[in-house]
Amino acid sequence: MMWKLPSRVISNSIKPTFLSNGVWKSFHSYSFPLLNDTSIFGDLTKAPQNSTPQVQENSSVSQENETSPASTLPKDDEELKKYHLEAAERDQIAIEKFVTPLKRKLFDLNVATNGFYKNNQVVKDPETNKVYKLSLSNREIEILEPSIYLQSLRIKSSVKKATVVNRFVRGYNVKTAITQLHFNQKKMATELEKLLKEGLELARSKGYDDNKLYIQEVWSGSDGDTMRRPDVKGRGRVGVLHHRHIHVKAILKTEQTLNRLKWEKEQKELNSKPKMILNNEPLNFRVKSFYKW
Amino acid sequence: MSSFWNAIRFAHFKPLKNYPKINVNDVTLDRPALQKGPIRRKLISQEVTDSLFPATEITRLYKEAGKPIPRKFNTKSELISRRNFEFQQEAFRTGDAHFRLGEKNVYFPKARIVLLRPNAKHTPYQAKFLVPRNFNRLDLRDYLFHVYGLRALNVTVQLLHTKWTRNRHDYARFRGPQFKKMTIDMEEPFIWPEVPKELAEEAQTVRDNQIKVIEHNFKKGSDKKNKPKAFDGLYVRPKLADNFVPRSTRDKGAKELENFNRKSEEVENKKVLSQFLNL
Repeated sequence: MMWKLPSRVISNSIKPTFLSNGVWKSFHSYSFPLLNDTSIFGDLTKAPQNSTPQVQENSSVSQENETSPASTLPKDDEELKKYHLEAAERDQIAIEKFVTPLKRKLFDLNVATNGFYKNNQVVKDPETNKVYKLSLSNREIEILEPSIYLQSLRIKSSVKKATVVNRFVRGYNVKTAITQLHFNQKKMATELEKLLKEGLELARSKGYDDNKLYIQEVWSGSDGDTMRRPDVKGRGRVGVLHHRHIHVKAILKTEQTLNRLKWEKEQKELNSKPKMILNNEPLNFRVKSFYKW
Repeated sequence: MSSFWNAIRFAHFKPLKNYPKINVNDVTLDRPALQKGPIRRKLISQEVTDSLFPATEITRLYKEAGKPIPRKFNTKSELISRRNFEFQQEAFRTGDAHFRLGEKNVYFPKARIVLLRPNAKHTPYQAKFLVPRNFNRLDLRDYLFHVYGLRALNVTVQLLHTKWTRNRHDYARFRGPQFKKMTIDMEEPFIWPEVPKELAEEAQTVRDNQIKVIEHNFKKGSDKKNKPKAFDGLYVRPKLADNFVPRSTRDKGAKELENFNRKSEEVENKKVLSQFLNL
């Protein structure tokens, strides 16, 4: 096998060069014919006339361009930030995506008048001057009240171990819970503390009062992909060792919820019938006018 | 128990108390072999050490001394090498190929020839290439001359052994690919430029960052949410506060909201239409 250029190209362009001592210099002085003079496609195409790049005479201009390159770090890139924010908003779980605006508006009016939500109350919309009686299901009230939903990352632990810690702080004020967890020596206490601190930050970003925030729910679940390996035992037997991973999730709620629950309890008590210690119903057996014995 | 084994490990070790004291300069590392038997005179053939055509030179010396020429040197084999030498010298003068050209024309070579960085054993007058396995040394010589105008004065071939590879769940090992490399001798020296330090560092950082991103792609469970911090936080998203909406309610609520939006849009459209028609 051999590689050969078209004969025309070779005859035109290969010009052996001599140094002063008569030695033919092969490599460095040898100009590559294809790049300079002719096109390898022969007469079909023409090589560009000014193929050699022209050096700019005004060197100061080029220097200025070199010294001020557009530094596009991600933190300075406004377009990228915008893109990320849009993506985050798309994934965000917000009430606006699931509840109609009218319902939200009436709920807010109710809260503005009472300080917290009272069900089955009449509210007047000042914009349209319409009067509504808003009665919501428990699920709807749960959603509409301000809340923070926290989800941890993957943690190397088990649900059994995490539940002990979760039960410890369930229902606590968040700041109290953080203090308690900080001095608890369990690994999951540290993990939960981190999660709650994140929750405080998020609450501040939403404009909630972080002093009044409390843990409404906290639970843990298996995070899947449990690694298994053999637990070799005596007498030819074998067991399975599980390497479990979990996540922790929590719901933080505000004072509004606490007040509502308290009020509802009061209402329930007020609406309940008075308790009778003695049974006032007729006897459902035959009553005779004499002693049996 | 381990402390016991540590203790007896040194039980039989007795360090030398007085090491012999010798000056480094007095030590001859490559000591010449001992002379055995009588010292003989050098042969005439041994006198020629630096010659392109030693046999011719030796023959001349023997003739001058009037001695019979050893059969070893009384050959015509050097005529061939002399002829080749002259052919090459002529080629260097005229700029032609310094070897006999092949007869098959290849206009668009598709072979991948990679110039490699030299090892410690190579001189600046040598260059090493990674070549396809179907290449022979004549191919490379021809290729380099016609594509780059580089004369390969000598070509040596190194066919590398294949590595055994064994994957995690394989029952057997298998061989990787074989690589062929060729080393040529050149007329003029060539030294690879040093890689700039900044460039190397940048390449390293890019690699580290890429590894982080790839690792993230293999994350499991909840860790998938945690975007990698590679490339100066290119992937990091702002953290927004979520409201708690149960999964079942989310689907139901989204549908409700869609219906509401559609209806309100219908109402708006009707209004516009009635205005347009003066109803």
